[in-house]
Amino acid sequence: MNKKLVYLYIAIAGVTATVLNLSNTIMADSYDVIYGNLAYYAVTVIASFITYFLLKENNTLAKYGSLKNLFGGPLGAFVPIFVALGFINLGAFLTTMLLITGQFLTSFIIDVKGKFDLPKMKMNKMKWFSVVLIIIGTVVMSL
Amino acid sequence: MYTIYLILALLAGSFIVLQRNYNMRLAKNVGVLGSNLINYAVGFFFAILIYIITAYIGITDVTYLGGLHYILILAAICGVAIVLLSNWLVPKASAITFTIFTLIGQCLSSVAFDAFVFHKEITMTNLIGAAIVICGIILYDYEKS
Repeated sequence: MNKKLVYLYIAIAGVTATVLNLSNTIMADSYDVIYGNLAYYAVTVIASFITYFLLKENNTLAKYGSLKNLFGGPLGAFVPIFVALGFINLGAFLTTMLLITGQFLTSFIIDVKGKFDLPKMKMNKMKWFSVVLIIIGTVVMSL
Repeated sequence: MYTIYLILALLAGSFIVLQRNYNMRLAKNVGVLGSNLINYAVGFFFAILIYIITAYIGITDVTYLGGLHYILILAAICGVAIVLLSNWLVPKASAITFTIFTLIGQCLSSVAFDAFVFHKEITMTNLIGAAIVICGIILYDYEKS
């Protein structure tokens, strides 16, 4: 596939993430943050169900492994609430940048500690400098 | 309250990564679409719990129950599209390319939404801070690749 087209699709994926956050915010603003979250999950679980049965690879849902593998669900249930509160009170730009920073810092800790069966990453001066830069940027952004 | 919202936004970012990693583990057993479905089903169960608890405490307004906004259809399409787009695009680009172009998409769209939907002004310190964060992320990913 044409590289420029791949870049465009990746940027569209980024836009889609922000549109999703905006949709949750409009729902939260129209009704209530907690109810908006519930309604979002109700509709998305139906959409996921339809997608799964249209495109399913193998019917292996029962083989989910340990209960720990299901922890993503409860964590995710708080995300639309926090994001909607951020969008309403901080604006889309600042919330999006803080989301990116939060994602980066958590990924960094996972990399350094070698969590989720991932190999531990060796740190060097440049990486530490990048992390310090991101923390400084977050503080400046939030002023 | 401002600081609390800042912390919640950072925490949301943190939860997104943890969720993604748990889902990645789950996907090894049940496939990407199965993992997506289980994730949203478990999330839905917890969203109900959060709703019941907050309604009991009196934080949530229960009079809205049953009310739906047309925008939810867009949210559902976006939720599923992100999973499918990511799975399709990640193998087609390097980590740094993926990071840079996702950041461009998110930054530009959030600036547009602030300007046209929320009518919120983006300050110079916001922009300078964001530029420093983006430089840091690119620098870190560049080193990694």
